[in-house]
Amino acid sequence: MNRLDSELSPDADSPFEQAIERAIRDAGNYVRPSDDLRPRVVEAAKDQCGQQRARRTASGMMLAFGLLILVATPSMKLIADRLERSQSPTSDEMQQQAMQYSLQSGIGPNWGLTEAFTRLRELQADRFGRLQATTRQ
Amino acid sequence: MTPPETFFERVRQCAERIAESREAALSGLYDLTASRLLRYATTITRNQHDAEDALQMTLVKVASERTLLLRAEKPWPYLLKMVRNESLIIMRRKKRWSFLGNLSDLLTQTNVDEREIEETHREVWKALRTLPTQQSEVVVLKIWEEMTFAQIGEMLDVSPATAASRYRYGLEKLESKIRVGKTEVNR
Repeated sequence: MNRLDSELSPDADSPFEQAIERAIRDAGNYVRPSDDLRPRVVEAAKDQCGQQRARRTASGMMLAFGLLILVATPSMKLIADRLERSQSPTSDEMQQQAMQYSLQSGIGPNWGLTEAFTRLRELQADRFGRLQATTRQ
Repeated sequence: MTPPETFFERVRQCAERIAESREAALSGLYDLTASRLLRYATTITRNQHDAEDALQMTLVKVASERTLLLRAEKPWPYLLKMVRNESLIIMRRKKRWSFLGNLSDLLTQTNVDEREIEETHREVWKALRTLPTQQSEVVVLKIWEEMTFAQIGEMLDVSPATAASRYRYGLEKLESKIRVGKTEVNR
């Protein structure tokens, strides 16, 4: 008992108070928890912690999914653009285009082929420009 | 009874174990503190079933927020404060402030050859229930938990002097109610 307690506590010499304090002290262990309380508490704690873990897992998965969407959307666009850029016409298609230009414009097949390649290069340059603009954004 | 310092240290150790392994270590804390927390909660709720609910809610909170107890400067008084808050919440919800004249809700432990002593214990518990909660909780913290008035004051957010006067008034009232105490003294 510290100084404050000796000053503030009731007269420690009073035999009645001593007896009452003793009686109260002795009665401290009179009440006991019911037999099912321990398993009940442990079970409730397990449930609570399990629910917390499930909530954390779910929110982690949601976050990961959100991040995936965030990263995947521009990536998909990038991949699509790259695919589009890499899809060049075949030699047969080039030949057909050259023939068309030749017939439409009344020029020889060689000039038709030159015209077809010129347009193809313009188209590729245009795609490349758009791709660079997207990447910069 | 375990010396308070040793008990405080054991509660801290349990808090450390809970911080490490969560609900798996809760049984240790239960075994160490349940009886003491329950008797304090019963003093506030005046009903053992409600006190057990308060105790359960407290320990579940401790397990679900694993560092809660470890972060507390003094884990044992903090745990007592937690069970007190839960008990008061239950009391507010149930509005069962009326005095229970009997002790039928109490689960007790007495050996067969201690029937006389049991009578005294019943007198004490009955008398404690007639006190206002503010006084009875100071009495039990002082006597059962062996706390100083400064510690009680800190826990209940009152001054040590207020805690001491509540104790004094409480004990005065108990004097007139616990007949056995006087009989013992007169003997």
